[in-house]
Amino acid sequence: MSPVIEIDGLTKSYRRFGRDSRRALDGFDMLVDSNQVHGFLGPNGSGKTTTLRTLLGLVRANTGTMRLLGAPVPGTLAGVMPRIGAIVESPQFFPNFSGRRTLDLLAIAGNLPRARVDDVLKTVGLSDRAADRVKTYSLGMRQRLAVASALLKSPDLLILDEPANGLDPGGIREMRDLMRSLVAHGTTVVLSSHILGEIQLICDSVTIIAEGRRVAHGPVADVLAASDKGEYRVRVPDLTRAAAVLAAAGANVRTGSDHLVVADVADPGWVTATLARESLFLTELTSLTPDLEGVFLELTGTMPTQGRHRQAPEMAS
Amino acid sequence: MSVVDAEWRRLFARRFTRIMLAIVVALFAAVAIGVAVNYHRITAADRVVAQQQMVADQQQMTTQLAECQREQSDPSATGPYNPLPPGLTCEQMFTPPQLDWFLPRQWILTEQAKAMLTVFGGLLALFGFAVGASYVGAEWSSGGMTNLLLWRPRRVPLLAAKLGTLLFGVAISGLGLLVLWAGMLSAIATTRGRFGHLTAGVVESMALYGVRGIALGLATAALGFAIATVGRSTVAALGVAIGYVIVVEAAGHLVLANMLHVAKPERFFLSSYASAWLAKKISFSTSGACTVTPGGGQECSFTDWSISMSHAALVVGLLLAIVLAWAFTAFRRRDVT
Repeated sequence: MSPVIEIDGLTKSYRRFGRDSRRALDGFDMLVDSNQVHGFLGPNGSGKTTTLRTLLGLVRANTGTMRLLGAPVPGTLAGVMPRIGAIVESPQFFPNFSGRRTLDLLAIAGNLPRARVDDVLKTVGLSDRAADRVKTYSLGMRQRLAVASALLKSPDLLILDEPANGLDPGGIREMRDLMRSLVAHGTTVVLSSHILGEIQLICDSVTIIAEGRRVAHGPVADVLAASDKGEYRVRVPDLTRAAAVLAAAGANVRTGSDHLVVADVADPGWVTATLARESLFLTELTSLTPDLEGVFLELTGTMPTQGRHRQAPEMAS
Repeated sequence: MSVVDAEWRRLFARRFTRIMLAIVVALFAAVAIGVAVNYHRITAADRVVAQQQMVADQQQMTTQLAECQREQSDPSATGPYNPLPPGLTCEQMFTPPQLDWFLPRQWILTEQAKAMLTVFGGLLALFGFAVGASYVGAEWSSGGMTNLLLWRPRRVPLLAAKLGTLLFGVAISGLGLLVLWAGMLSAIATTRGRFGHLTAGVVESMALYGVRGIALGLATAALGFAIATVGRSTVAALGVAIGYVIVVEAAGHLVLANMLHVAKPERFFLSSYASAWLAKKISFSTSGACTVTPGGGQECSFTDWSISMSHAALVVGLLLAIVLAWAFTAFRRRDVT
């Protein structure tokens, strides 16, 4: 698989009038291979949108190199943009134009056949409302229109910033199916989203960014495995005695309100056997496999702490 | 060409452009109706009434002339005509009335054309500025510019295509409005007045006046476009324009002329150059030093000066070039966040 996005050492600072400059990207790296759905994750203000804007030539980087579909950008951006469909943040359209006119104008600007407009309207499920003004659309319908505009070019690379924003559960599922279908037809999809369950379901690989730096990347399974500490949730009638037995046997044990968490255990059978020898019989033994949300919160340092409200960082989103 | 095609459709699909066109046409109609209501062709009845007024005036004048001559022939006589103002005779004071004086005012195209075409140029200038500013300003505020850059990342050609489309659109609109305006004026001349001495030279001069009005509209459209590009919103451009009119044209004129006593203050205002461009030349008379006369009055010297069309074109062109260069540089370099 050849990479479609290669970013190396990207830095970007925003100058602020009368204040110190604000560093949005701090040596960020990213590699996305072709023919897959790639999740691009990060908390608000971590630099996701700045990365996408820089990659698409909307923002000028301070340092670093980037390649899109193998071509160095921003130098050759005009040559590769016809092969890239993108929506960045929530795209807005002229409220008094109809959905069809909005897409028609883009198709004309891109020298595309007008028949493509009907195709993409059908793909995103907007055919019946195409003649209505955009101002009458719901947030989800505007999002569909944005996706339609990105699909117009039949892109090799589709970059979508929060495409599920405003969509109902049915719409989210449709979007997921659409992406799978696009990948099956050879398109690479880069997806920025906060809906981590959705990302875990749909993405083949992820990049996680925090404070302008890459903190994790690779296939989803690898990223999850890297955070797998071999933990098990254990429930027994006598928690205190069970904790003491397991600790004495060399396990790393944390006590919860109604359960124990036993870490660094290679074989769950060892927990069963150790407790059974002391006549302690399990009522539950569950492997605590990390999910993407837990990994994300841990890696980005955004795990909620009781009694403390996280403040939005002073960074560009 | 595809960008130009798309931009051309976008320009005239926009509600703002259509509303502005409708407003200009409505204002044209309002001016035309105002003229039509206040003037009418001279009828036989008008002539009868005027004739009666002239005769009455003549009789009164004959009496006054006789009284004046009597007072002048008798040095001891006292009355309103003795003494007469220096250098005047009774015959000079009481010239026989003419019938024209008592006829209703007539609207004559050749006499009114300059004022009417100035109205056209002024309205087109406002139309150009508003449409130019909104055309690019709305793209910034709606996020449409970001969308467009994702399709056309070469920024300078994109902005040039947008500007070119705008100017072509304003030129076509201006031409259409000029034809409409000429039609309205012809209709007024036909139904409520007359054409006057309409030679080929006069028609050519009027047509050129209209073309200069269209050129002024193009200049203001480019100016509005450039300011909105730098300020990234329509409101920024309109704010600059309104601020300029209030602060520079109104308050600045007061300060320069009345407080700082700067000579020829009009040369600092764009309105002077716009007027000079439309009228080919605009003349001013600036008062200089005043001296007290032996009779106790004041005698002031005046300097007559003017701004020519070429001078106006140079100043407006230079300003436009600077603002456009600024807009293109900012657009090429700025981060679209």
